[in-house]
Amino acid sequence: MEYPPPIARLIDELRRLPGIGPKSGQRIAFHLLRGTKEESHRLAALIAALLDEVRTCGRCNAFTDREICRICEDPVRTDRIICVIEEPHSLVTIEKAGGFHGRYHVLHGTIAPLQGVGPEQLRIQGLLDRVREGIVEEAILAMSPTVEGEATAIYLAKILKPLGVRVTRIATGIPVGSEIEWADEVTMARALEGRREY
Amino acid sequence: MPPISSDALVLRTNKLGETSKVVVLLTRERGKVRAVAKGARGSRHRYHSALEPLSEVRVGLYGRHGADLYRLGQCELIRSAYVYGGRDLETALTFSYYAELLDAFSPEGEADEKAYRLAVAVLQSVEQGASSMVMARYLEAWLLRLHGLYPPLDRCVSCGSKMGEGGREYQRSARGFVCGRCGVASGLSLSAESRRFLDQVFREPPSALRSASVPAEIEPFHQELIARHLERDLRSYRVLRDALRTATS
Ligand SMILES: [Zn+2]
Ligand SMILES: [Zn+2]
Repeated sequence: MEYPPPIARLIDELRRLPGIGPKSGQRIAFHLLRGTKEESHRLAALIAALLDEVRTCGRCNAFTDREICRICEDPVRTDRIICVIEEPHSLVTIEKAGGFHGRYHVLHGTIAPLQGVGPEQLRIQGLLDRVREGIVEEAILAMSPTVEGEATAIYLAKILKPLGVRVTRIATGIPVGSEIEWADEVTMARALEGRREY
Repeated sequence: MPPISSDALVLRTNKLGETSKVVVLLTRERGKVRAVAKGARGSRHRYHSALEPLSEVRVGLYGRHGADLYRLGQCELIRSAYVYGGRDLETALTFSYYAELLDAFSPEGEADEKAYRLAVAVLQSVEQGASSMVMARYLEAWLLRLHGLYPPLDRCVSCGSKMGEGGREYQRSARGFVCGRCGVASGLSLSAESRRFLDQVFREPPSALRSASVPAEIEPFHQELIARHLERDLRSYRVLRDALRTATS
């Protein structure tokens, strides 16, 4: 059976979203049809406003609705430590974990040679400018432990160290709550390497 | 049906949905194949670092012979690209280049035991300390040769006369090296040192070149042969060059 065009077009659009196939597209469309006009107008307005209102922070490149984001303007946080991350959503994960009170810098990607993404496509220049201001003492490289994440971290270490800043890399190891026999050899080796006094 | 088991090198992966990946593998037994790795992403993913490009793995593949898309079963890590590929910037980036090069030179579904053994030997040498750049030239030279694309170094392409010691003059129109009587070079000239390096590449296993250094002119020469064959540039090569240039300036 064919859907009336307004429904078919909506399902088509929904299907382009990550994680949504034709089935989920249908479900969402019918859910909206059963709801009120107010509800769907509210949703539509939020989607429409997203790209108008959200931009990347002029300092750290995180998503924000202001010129400079709340974290960059937070007077309680220290400017001496910058945590460098691949994607804006890593920031949420690190903030949730608590315990980090420095600033961030979002690269918006990693060096990914197979996708043709080199350092020029990443937001590295802004990081160098921030470090050159002379206040940053430590840059924490919080890229994922993948070959691409590692390449990005090595690259950054190479260009940051000459600026006289301490460069550290987040530890890798056994995930909390998992069992050691399920860890792969590489993770296990890294966990042993990164052991600490107890 | 029992799975097809094979040694393989991971060439690349693409995300598939929220939790899976499509993996392109260079297998010893079946050549280049694609397989869906269910549960390869997300917080409890199954394959850990085994699916990083250029990891050497032993896989179980489900699907009929010659399938377009297999299903990846077990995937046991033999050699981790994460461990030795992350040695330094040059090696990390060169690994992507090796992977793209192997991918570009491997037709799908055609077993090529020689190319497979070449790739594994090159990776082994890098693991044992060979320069990843020297090994890049080694891999290029042999992939070109296995595809009949490397001009013979010992005879003039035009008159067939034997050429001795010394350098080589490349003629683009003839796609080969020419002797002094058969005209002038229209492409690159290779020095005697370069010719000796290439002689060694074609005579010795990669492990023998562990402490060799490579003359700079070989790289653009190989890039020309590769670009002419593939009719495109390799993306990872451009990234490799950009990154190394900006990291040292
Ligand atoms: Zn900010
Ligand atoms: Zn001749």
